[in-house]
Amino acid sequence: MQGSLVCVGTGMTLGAHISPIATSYIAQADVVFSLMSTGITERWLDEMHDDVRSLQCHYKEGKNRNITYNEMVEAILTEVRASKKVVAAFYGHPGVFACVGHRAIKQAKIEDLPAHMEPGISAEDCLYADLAIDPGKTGCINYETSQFMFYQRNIDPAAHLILWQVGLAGDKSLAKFSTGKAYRQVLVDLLLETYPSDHQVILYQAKILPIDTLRAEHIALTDLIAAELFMHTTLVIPPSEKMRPNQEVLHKLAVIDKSELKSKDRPKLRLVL
Amino acid sequence: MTTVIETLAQLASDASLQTPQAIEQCLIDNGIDEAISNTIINKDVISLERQLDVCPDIVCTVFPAEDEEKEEKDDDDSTEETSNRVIGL
Repeated sequence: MQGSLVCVGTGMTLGAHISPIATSYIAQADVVFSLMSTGITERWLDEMHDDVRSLQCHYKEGKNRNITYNEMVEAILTEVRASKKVVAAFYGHPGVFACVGHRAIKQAKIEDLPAHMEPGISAEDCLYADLAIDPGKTGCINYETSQFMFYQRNIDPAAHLILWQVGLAGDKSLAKFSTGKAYRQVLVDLLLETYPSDHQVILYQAKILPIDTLRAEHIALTDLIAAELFMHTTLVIPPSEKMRPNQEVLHKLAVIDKSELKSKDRPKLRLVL
Repeated sequence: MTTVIETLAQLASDASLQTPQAIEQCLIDNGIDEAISNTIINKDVISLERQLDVCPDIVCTVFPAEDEEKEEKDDDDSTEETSNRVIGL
C-alpha cells in the first residue's frame, strides 16, 4: 500500500479553530508529526493520537533554520516512503508563512506520493478579527520582516503593512531565535523613510490558549527598538496617508465609459438583405 | 474524568463557557484539581505550563527570510556567504 501525506492546520487557539476534516485526518493517520506553538498545544495534539512525533527536536539556536526545515521534511517523508498514512499538523495554517508543509508536499509529489494540504485558521485571520482590520478597505501587504529588510520593496503608506517574525528582524544567518536593538534600529530607520516617527503601530500576538490575553499594544514607531518582542510577535503598521486617486487611469476609464454610453445611445442598425 | 487539556479545548470551543461563572462551573463539573482550576481562572499560563509539566521553550518560526530556490540561483552568480545557503530539496 502506498503512503500518503496530508498537511493540516490546527488553527491558532487550542480546540477552537481546528476543522472537522483536519481532526479526521489526524484520527485516521498512522503517524502524526506536530509543530505547535506552545507546550500545552503540543500536549493537546499528543492526546489526539497515540503516535504523535514532535518536530521541535530539529530546532537548535545557531543552526541555519533552512537546515532545520529540511530535516523536518525528511523526517516526514521517511514515514510516507515507508507506506504510512502521514499527517503533518502545524499550528495556524500549514501553508501561510510556513515552509515545511509546502516543501514536504513538493518533495512527495516529485516522488509520486500522494500529498495535499488542508487549510487552518492562521495568525493573519485572527489578526483581522482581533484588530478590526478589513484588508479590503485600503489594501494590506504582508512580508516576513527580514525579507522586507533584505530586498528593495515599495511601501504603500495608504495600505496596512504587516511584518511577521519582527522579533527576528534582520537575521541574515537564519540561526537566531531573536535579534537585538541594533537590528531593530535598522528596521525602524527603513520604516522612517515612509512613516513619521510618532506613527502609531501595533504589536500583535494571537490567543493560543482560551485563557490567553491577546496582545494588541499600540506604540510609536520609534519605540519599537526597545519593545518586548517574541518569536510570534507581529508588527502591524496602519496607513499613514489617504489613498490618492490615480488620475491617469481614471481618465482612461472615463473615456471608455463615454464611448460606451455613446454607442448605447446610437439607433440600432438592422441588417437588410 | 476529563483531562485538563480536554477541559481547555472545551472552554475554547463551547460558546456557553465564555463567562467566569460558566468556566468555574465547568472546572468543577470536570473534576479539575483545585490548584489547576485556580491557575486557569487566574489566566496564569506560565503556572499552568509548570503544573502540566510541559516544555515551555517552544520554537514557533516556520518560515525562512530567504526563499530556498532563489538562494540556489543566487549561488551561481554571487559570493554570498555559504552560511546562508540552503540545503536544497
